[in-house]
Amino acid sequence: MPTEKESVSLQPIAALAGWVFPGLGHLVNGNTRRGIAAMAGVLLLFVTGVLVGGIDAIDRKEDRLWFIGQAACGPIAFVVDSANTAFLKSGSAAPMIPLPPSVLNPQPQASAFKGLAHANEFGTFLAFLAGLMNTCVILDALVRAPRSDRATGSSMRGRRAEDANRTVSTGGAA
Amino acid sequence: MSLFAIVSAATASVSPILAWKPFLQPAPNAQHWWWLLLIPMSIGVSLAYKAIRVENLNQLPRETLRMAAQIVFGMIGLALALYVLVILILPHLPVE
Repeated sequence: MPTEKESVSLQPIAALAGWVFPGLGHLVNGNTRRGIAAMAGVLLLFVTGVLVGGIDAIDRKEDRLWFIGQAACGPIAFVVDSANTAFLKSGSAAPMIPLPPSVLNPQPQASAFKGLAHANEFGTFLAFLAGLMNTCVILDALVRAPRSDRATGSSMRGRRAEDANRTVSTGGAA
Repeated sequence: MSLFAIVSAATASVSPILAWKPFLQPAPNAQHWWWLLLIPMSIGVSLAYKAIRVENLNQLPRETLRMAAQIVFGMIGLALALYVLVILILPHLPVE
């Protein structure tokens, strides 16, 4: 019977890889099919969000709280935010439209491609949801035993780290 | 209705889509079809969740579709319940 200390086998490299790109943590650990499926799910949410809301759906400065969740998708969220700054906020992709002046900003402007209403809301939300789901995927990569999907052969049965350790401690009679 | 009018009407309806620059510009007329986003949302959440929860990956497609359907029908059920409450019940309550 493994002790509590033996049963915890964390995979920090896999967790870090999972943040670098969704699902990469499982791929690094040899759980290929699981990683590809997780990657597909997270990317479906993220790409749909950016497709619906445009790259304005990810905005580190204007939607800071949303961006905290979106950043869990990893560098792809930062790349889209940089693209937003480079193409939309600079005015290189579309002309800038003057907005009514306010106390804080006497000459406000916004890109003609800026997302508004439903498109912006759902784009932002879907990218945020992708970040939340990737957090779950990262946590799973952190605790899942390497190559655990291959351990039982054709059935591809995935097991947690403690299950794998129990298998070892009982001589493989799990 | 002349052929020119038909072509003009058709062009006017599809022109926002033809002029759309995907990923750079927000999707056109999202206020009309935003509810359809429930489908990719439910599939994406289900796929990511079930990918880390199922033990046998051969069951992943079935489990994903099952959870996605549960989300969609759950949302429809909530929408119907709110419709009944807000449109049918609340207006008939006595006003104090």
